[in-house]
Amino acid sequence: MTTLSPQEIGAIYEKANALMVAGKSEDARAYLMEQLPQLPEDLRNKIVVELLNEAVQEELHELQTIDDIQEEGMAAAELLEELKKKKEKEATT
Amino acid sequence: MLEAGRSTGGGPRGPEQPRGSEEPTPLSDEIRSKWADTWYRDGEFILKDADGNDLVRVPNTEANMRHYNGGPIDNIAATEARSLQAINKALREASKPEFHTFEEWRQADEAEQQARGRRGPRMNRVYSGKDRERMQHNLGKEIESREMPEATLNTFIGRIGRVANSEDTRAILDELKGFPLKSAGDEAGRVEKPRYRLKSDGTHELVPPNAAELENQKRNLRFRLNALKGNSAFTEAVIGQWEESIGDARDDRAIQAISDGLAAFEPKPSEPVRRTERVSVRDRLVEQVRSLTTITDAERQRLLDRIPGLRGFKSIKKFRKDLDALLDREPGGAGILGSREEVAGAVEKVGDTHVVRSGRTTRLASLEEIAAYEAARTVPPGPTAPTTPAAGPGTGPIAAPSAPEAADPGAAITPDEQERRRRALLDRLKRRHRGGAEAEPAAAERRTEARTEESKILDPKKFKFIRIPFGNDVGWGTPWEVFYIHPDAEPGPDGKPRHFSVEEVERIKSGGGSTESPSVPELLDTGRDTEKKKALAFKPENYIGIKPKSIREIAANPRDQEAFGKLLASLTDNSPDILSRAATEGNLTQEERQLIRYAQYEHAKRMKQWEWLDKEIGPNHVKLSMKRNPDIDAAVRLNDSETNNFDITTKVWKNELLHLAMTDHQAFQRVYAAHTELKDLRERRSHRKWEASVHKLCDRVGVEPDDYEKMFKLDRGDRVATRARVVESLRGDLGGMGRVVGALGVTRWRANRVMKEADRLQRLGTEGDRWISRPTSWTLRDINTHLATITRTMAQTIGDEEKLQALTKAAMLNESVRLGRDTGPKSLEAARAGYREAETKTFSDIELKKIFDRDKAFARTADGRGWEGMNTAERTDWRDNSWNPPEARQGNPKGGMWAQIARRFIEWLFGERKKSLPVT
Repeated sequence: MTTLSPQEIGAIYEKANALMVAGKSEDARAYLMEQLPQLPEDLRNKIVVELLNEAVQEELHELQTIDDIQEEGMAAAELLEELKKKKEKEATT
Repeated sequence: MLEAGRSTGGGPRGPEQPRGSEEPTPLSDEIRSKWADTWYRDGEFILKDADGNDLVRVPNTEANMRHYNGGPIDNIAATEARSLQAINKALREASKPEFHTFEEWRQADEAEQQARGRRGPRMNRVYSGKDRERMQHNLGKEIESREMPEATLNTFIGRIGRVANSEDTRAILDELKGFPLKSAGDEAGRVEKPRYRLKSDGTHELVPPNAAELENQKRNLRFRLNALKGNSAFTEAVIGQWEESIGDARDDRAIQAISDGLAAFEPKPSEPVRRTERVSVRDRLVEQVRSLTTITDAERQRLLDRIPGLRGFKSIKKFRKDLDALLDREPGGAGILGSREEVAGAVEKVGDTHVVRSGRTTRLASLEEIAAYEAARTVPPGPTAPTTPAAGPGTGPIAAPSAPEAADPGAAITPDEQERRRRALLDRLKRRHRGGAEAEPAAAERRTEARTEESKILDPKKFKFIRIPFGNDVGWGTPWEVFYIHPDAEPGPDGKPRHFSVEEVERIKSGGGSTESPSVPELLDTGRDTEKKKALAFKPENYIGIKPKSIREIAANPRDQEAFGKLLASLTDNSPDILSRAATEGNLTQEERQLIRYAQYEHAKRMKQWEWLDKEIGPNHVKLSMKRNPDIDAAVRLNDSETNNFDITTKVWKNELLHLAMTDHQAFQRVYAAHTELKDLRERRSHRKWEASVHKLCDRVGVEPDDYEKMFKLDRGDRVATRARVVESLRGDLGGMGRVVGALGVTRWRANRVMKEADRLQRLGTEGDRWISRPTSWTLRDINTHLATITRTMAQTIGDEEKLQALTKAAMLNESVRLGRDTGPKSLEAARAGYREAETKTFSDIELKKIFDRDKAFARTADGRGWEGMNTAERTDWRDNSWNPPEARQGNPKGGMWAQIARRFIEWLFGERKKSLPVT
């Protein structure tokens, strides 16, 4: 892998920044992911941490939602149990 | 004579039943002073001196038994005599030799224990880790309760830090008796009795207070459990588990664990119980079955009979899938109650989250869907709640007719669209999470209005303070529930008087009028104020066992230097000035001196906690994130791999935690507590059992245990899709030749095995014995909660490493700057503008050299040498790693990931440029 000069890295930053400032965040992300392997290791590590941060946050919210859904599932099971008891009571009376 | 006395007779050796007498036989002062031991023979007590010579004989009366049996310590004599009787009785039954005195037995017992090597000397117990901490805590309270000069206090603190066994403890306590108590009734100053005891295997266990107290605690727990029966998470089976746990609790630790577990489900005093809208699920299923027209009555009855047998989310999901298949066959399916809407995707609110159910799947709702759902809810506020289906068409869960994706229910969602929705939802969640007022202006406005109204109505003078005990103080948690009530306040959702927290009342009294939880910025500010208050009320006795570093020691270690600077900066805006004066022994005010001392102690304490975390945290955290998110997996693998056990990323995480420890104490404590709790939970039997089963299953199938969730938490109703996912997942784990072999059939073979197990789990799931496939047990749920705490805290703070870094270095360089969060841009646009400015802000070489020359005058090595005294390597190191001039610093943008990435670029580029500056 070739080593990029600071000027070339500056150019990568400028292009990504330009995309970001223009509101094309998805393009900026794609461009950065494409260029990531070429960046120096220390810079790359820092960027990976930022990506990790983003992913963790997403995961957290997904986990919370799953928790909520499971909670409703448990509530449903409880209510169905009540329904069963009610039906059994009806059957006996 | 005495030896003969010991061996004579074959009957009981202990004292016989004493004869009645109220007063003990009087002893002369001479005899009393020589009396060292007591023997019993032939119905008399023989009092002996230290050499074993007889002094006097006294008859075996009850009073003499109390006073003379066992030895010359009156208050233990009777107890020991009774104990000796019991011991001898047991020995007789075991046909073993008996003892004449308690002391004799004690020495023999101790000798036997030592011979077995099971424990050290009886009276000098060496503390284990927790015992030691507990004893240090108790001793700390003891010295806190005594009047003494500060120098003496510090000496005691140092000694307490080195306490290692009970002999040390006794020595300190004896010395402390020479100092008067601060106040006679100071309950807090008393040393608690240790509640640990040595077990026969050399370990320690908590001593239950006593049977009555334990039972009282259990009764409290059962009472709290009963109060939770309205909670949807507490099904009959779950409650059964809890009750079983309460019944099994044998010590304080178990009681506390259960209490903490219950507390996780109990509502806070200020928040109402969140109840899931339960009626909707039952009605929906039953009504949908009844509405079917294409099935026979027998089939309908069979379906209805299945409903009571459903257990848990997954079985209900399967039932719904079957039901959907039948509903699809219905003529004019849109007319069937709720069915068509569900296939198209109907929005429902689950807790605070909007989801869209489409029969087979459930996904998060998009912003548009949420907006339409909320609009539909607010416009017709009739009885047709979204989850309360009526008996007519179109009255099922309210869909989002105005939303673009709802306009064409059959249209497939493109990946771009899905991504857009995901992003939109995340943005919304982030906004809501970071600042409620900013994210939801309408809701915030409503809350503000409500608060204002309430503050106008509620007379602060009428608040009544309530303090209710809900458990016994066993040294673990708060035994009192503390809150306020107000006679004019609206009752809570359960009809009972509304509870106000102490903070809420304080806010209302101060004119804030808020009855809501504070927003994130408010919490931060409060936290900072609290820290400062703590600093100003600093007491060294609260830091038993903590050895603070001196300023010079801190300055000598770059990590400590940075950490300390961050800590001090989080306490005061004036840290650069204070630090420089502290370093040069300049004049410090009393307040500043206290601040510095507090920071020194806190720094040492937090570093200690972080070092524990440093040992505990492994690459598993990174792996967990990677397993669940392909993006992050790809990103991490660019630099890191299994080969080095994700060393780089793990190290970065740990560094972020250190930063957190110094800058946000509350958040760090949450993470620290979550880790300690996690460690405890994972060592529990139920979790180990579950984990062992998972490992066994994964070994059998040939997949990594880490992949268990991915492999087996599948949509079991769709075998084709499930199989495709399994194959894809297995292929993803292969590399190099593995891909070739996989293509030849190995992947297919492994997929078959996984599917076989998945089917088996599904069968188990319907037959009752499905503990391995249960989504959660309460232990697992607690683990998830703690993991979420760690994850959430990290997610919120990881990007802020540079927030205080500049300030830290500035503090060390005697420069005055304000906190980044006070000066940085407040919006994404502002952040972008800042970067545009920063981008164009370039220094000429001359300017840069001038700044460098200015700053290098402040450079110091660990041993205090200045620039002139440094060698070339040290100068280079300072230039590259320490120097960070304020002219080149960025603000503190809150623009999210992109803003942070841009900052990383700028820093790196500046770092490269610095290298051109000469150091010689």
